[in-house]
Amino acid sequence: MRNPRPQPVDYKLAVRQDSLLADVRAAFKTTLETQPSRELVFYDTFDWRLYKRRESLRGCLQSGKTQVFWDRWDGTSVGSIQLENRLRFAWDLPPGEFREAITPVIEMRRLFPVLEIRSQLRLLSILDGREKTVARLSLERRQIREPGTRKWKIVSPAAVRALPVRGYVKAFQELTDLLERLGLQRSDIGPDQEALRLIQPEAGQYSSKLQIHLDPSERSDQATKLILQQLLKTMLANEEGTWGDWDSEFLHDFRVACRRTRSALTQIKGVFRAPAVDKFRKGFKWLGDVTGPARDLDVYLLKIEGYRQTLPTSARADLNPLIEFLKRRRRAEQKVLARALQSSRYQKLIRDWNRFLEDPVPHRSSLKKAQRPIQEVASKRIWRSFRRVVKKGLAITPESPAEALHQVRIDCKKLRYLLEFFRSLYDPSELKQLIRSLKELQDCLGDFNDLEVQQESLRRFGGEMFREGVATDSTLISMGQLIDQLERLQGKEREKFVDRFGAFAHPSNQERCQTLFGGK
Amino acid sequence: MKALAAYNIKGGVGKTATVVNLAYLSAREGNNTLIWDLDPQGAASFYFRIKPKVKGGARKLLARRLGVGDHIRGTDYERLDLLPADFSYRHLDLLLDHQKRPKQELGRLLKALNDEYEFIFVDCSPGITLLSEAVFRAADVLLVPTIPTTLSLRTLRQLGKHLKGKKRAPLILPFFSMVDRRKSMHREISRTAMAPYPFLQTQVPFSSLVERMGLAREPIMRYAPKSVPSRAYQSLWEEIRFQPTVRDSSLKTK
Repeated sequence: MRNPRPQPVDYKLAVRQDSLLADVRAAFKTTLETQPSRELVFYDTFDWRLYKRRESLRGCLQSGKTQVFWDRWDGTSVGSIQLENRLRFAWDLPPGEFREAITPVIEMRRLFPVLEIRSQLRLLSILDGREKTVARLSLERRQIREPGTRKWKIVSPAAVRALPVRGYVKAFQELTDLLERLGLQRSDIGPDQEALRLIQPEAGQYSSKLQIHLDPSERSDQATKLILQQLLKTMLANEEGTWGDWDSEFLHDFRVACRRTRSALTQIKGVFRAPAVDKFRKGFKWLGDVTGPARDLDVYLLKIEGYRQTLPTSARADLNPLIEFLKRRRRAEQKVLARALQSSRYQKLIRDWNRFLEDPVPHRSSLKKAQRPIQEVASKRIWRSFRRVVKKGLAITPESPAEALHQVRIDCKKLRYLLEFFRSLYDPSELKQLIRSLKELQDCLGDFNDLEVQQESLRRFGGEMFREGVATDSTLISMGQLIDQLERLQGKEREKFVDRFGAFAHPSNQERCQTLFGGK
Repeated sequence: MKALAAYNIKGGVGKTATVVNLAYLSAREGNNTLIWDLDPQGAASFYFRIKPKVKGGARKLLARRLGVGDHIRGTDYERLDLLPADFSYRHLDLLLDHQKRPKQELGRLLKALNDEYEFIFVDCSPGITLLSEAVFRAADVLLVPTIPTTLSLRTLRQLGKHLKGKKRAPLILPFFSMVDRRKSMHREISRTAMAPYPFLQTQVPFSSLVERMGLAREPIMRYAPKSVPSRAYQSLWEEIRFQPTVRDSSLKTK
């Protein structure tokens, strides 16, 4: 629609607040209001989901309740909600459209306070002949601090914002013209974003994706260390959230970094000495094993709601004992996990690993591949891995056991990791199609495998719950129905595999890979 | 977005005061709120010092050549906007009659504002016309300020009967307005007529303080925040706010 909601304009304050006020009051008819000081808290997820969308979540304590505002950086609002308790997870919010809108954005991630502001606002209303407010100027003195700390930083200069009133375009123009004549410069980011960047210099930067830029002529051992260093960084970033159980994704990102590390050590052969590689492979395998059960339980708990919906309404409550059982197990596994991550074994692993990665590579290495350019080593490995997936995939028939598909899944994973490590060495547009078809193939195989695993687990849980005496007949029957359902879904995935593999192993893809990686 | 219309076939029952005060409370709470002044008298517009003038008049509004957004004015209060009345609205129902689907026109205009506001309060003109029918169809809730007399209850019953069985009838929320406890009929009716109508618990008393809104030109929470009528409106808003139909305010994200 034309004339949508007008947007405020932020300025950098270059003159003293009081003289600015005086100048504006001299030019227009005005009233001034000093608002009581208030405290605001900004929230975001660990991976800055709101920041990355150029949005913010701001909580304001008002008469015992918290009013939460969800705004875009340009000043327009997405929505707001009143809360009685703390803002943590999407599912803690009262049901309604706010929750429905924010859930796909933050999903299962926890919201943390990222910035606290103590603000004193002076609001100058510009009036017309009828005493109607036609524009506003807000001058805000603020103190900011990092949540959890005591000290407030005074932010200078103060924040100046010209606020339009809808439908009074000329008045706003006159105000902004005056401000510019007085020497104020427009600011391209809002004061909230500026404050956030002061308190959280790494705002918006965390990503669980591997973002590494390799030089194709770099030595393979050095290049591999760069990859591993970034993976270690990701692990360490997620460490505290993992043993602190802040949300399920810390553990997930931690484990993925761990898995990629193992994969790199295994697949990029011949660049490091075998004893070192063995030692660290064992270490990371231990880490994977000790964190595995907790992650598996997280996956179930995340999925269980969806599964519950597939059961007839009368049977849905029957799954509650299962959910309780899983939650109890999860709590127990968390204790095991937390102990492991605070153990001296873990500390030593990380220390040694860090030292290994920081040690400079030997000037001359006895290992064949260590000094070869990474482009060469990477391409060889990828080509080999690709051929393997194609070979194994072509051997699959409708009679092949589930284990055979499982193997293809593992080979696909190996290929995928390699492509992720070495992405920067190849033309992105060429890789795009390959990665996309690989991803679709993996999704299908992943679902197939998940369904297999979950059927087994449900059978196992059933047995364990029975022995613990917490399984009622109706619960077991519902779980049985669930198992049947899962088996049926698994059959569908197998059919999907044929199509997806066909797309992946298509001659055009094979040619492309030959060109990119097969080389001479 | 939820549209709440203050409606009563009778005039002078407190429709405008209801709209102005509840909309203010809604905005203060943090909801983007719009008041649509559909009454050619333009009282709501007057209270907010906004000229009751719509460029091109009612005809242009319906023709949508300019778009509804162009007519909206911000009030003096954050998150509270107003779509002013125009004297030409006295012809609105005639103009609507010429449209292809007259009763859906209003709904269409409201829908254009779906993304921008959580609540739209409509100040209706008294009487029952094609315009009123259009409001019935487009609104989610009909707030019916009712003076506690037998005739008022009869009118309410007529309204209930009229809307029964209509598809897309709004939720009817009647409440007692301008209650004068010195009058025995007011006392009796406001006490006993709660059932079988789904009257809201809160009753708004008659008060000269509310009449002063025309002088103060502000919602009553601004110039007499602790007064009895001010508290009554706050309690009224709380009650309305948590009705299931109203509770979920609509959000649009990208």
